[in-house]
Amino acid sequence: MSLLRKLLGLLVLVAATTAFASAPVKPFTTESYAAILAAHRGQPLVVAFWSLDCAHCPGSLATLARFARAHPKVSVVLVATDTGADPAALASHVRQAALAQAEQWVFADPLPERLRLSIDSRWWGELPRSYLIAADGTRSAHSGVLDAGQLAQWLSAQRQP
Amino acid sequence: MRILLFCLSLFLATAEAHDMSAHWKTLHQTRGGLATALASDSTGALWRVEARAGHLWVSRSTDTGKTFSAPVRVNAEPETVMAEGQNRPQIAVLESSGQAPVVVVAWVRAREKVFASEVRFARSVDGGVSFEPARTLNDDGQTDIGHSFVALAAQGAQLTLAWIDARASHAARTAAGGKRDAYAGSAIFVVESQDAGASFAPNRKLADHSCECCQLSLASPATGAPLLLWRHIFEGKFRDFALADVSTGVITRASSDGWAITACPHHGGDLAIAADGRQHWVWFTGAAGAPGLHYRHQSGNQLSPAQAVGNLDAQASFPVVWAGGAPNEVHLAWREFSDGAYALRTRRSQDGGVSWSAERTVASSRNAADNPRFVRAAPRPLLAWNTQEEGTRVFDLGVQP
Repeated sequence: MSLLRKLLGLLVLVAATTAFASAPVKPFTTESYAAILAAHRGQPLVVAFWSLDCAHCPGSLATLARFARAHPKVSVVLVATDTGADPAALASHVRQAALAQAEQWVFADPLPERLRLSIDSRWWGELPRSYLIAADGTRSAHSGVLDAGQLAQWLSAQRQP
Repeated sequence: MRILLFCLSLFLATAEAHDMSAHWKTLHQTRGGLATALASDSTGALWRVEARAGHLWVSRSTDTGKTFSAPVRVNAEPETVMAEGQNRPQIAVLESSGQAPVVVVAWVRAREKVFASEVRFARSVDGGVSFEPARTLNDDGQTDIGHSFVALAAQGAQLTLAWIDARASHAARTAAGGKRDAYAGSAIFVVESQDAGASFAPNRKLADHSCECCQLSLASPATGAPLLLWRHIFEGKFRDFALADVSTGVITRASSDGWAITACPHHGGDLAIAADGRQHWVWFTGAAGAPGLHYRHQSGNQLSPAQAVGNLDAQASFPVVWAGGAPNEVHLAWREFSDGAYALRTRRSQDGGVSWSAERTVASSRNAADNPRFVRAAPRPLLAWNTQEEGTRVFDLGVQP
């Protein structure tokens, strides 16, 4: 019994260590969106909102992962809207989606509307929701699964003189 | 030691694969579970179901929701109950002549695998003193796919439940080698009981290609089968609303917004049927042409134009509708958010939904809040709103300030 207990303790420890191996998941508050924009100013940025409850999110994250690999100069920021979710589990999910290098945040407010209003008053919570922000700060919003062609077009439009 | 190392390597190999599912389960275990439901019986007593610590609890109020009796536990064994937002427990009191009232409760239980869930049901035949053992209503026996967003309609001893069921989409995608495109969305399944939930007919599919995660709304006319309102996927891409009689499954288009997105709006509509048979419904769309909340009604095949409701810039959301009481009386309610607080907003029509009063705020809350719901089967427009700080509040919209 005692051996079993030690074994279980060790397993929990290992689970915790492996889960925290990725970048930390930061709490997303009403100031976070502005902070993300400021930190990535002057470079193309994709801010992708997702949730575990969303049936279309895994497909969108997969498209984003392929795009990020092909275009390492584009910043990718992921924000999970699951307030209260275990950050380790979120990080693990993102790692499985091959987006481990992406900066990660999680909603930290019992009132999601408060956070949405700090981002975009015309976003009603549908997921996935993505904001494509060009190097000059121009923002376009997209509800639904990201499309590889659309991402490529967005990026190449910025390279035009 | 060797055993220990073996166990560790095995654990590490499987840990990643299990994380998403573990997350799914803990997410629903840790969430607030603020979603409640209330139903009136013929004496005017209100019955409330709420989810807490893996159980459903039923309590009763004889003072229109000011106080509730000590709650009675519904399910003996704890389960991961989904009770927030669109996935809501349901309650009804079935009364038929010569029979003791039967209290029925339906809910969704999350299973281990991500998105996997089951439709659960239990009833009390002793006036809510105790509940019979909980049963799983989806009869496909698949515990690794979704059966959720259960809705319910009750009339006499007749009980109809509808939910979003993944068995059709799962089969089609599996047959296509796992291709998600092989089937658009999910499907609506229905089950009926003629004996107040003592027994059920086999499950049957009502419609293919529903949206995956918006609550359904069932409403019963004075005579005949209930009607179901749900967010459908028209032409493979438009996530607009559909209306169907559950006995025929013939779909009419309830909204023509043209919202073409591959996304989960998590935002279902609501349907009420007046004594004269007029159907009233409310819904949300994010379609670029006219985003926001909308209302319309239908008598026979006369369909009114869609009317915008609520303040788009205050995140107007989760609309509900009530029809009854005085002839042609209709009430709408929804939630808005501004200045750091939720507002419970309403408007009233006294001519069957043709013209409307100004919108007004009935209540507000500064912390987590459930969506508003009308009390099922109440003879008056009783609007229930459960919030973290204030608990369950019931507002009689028939009493104007």
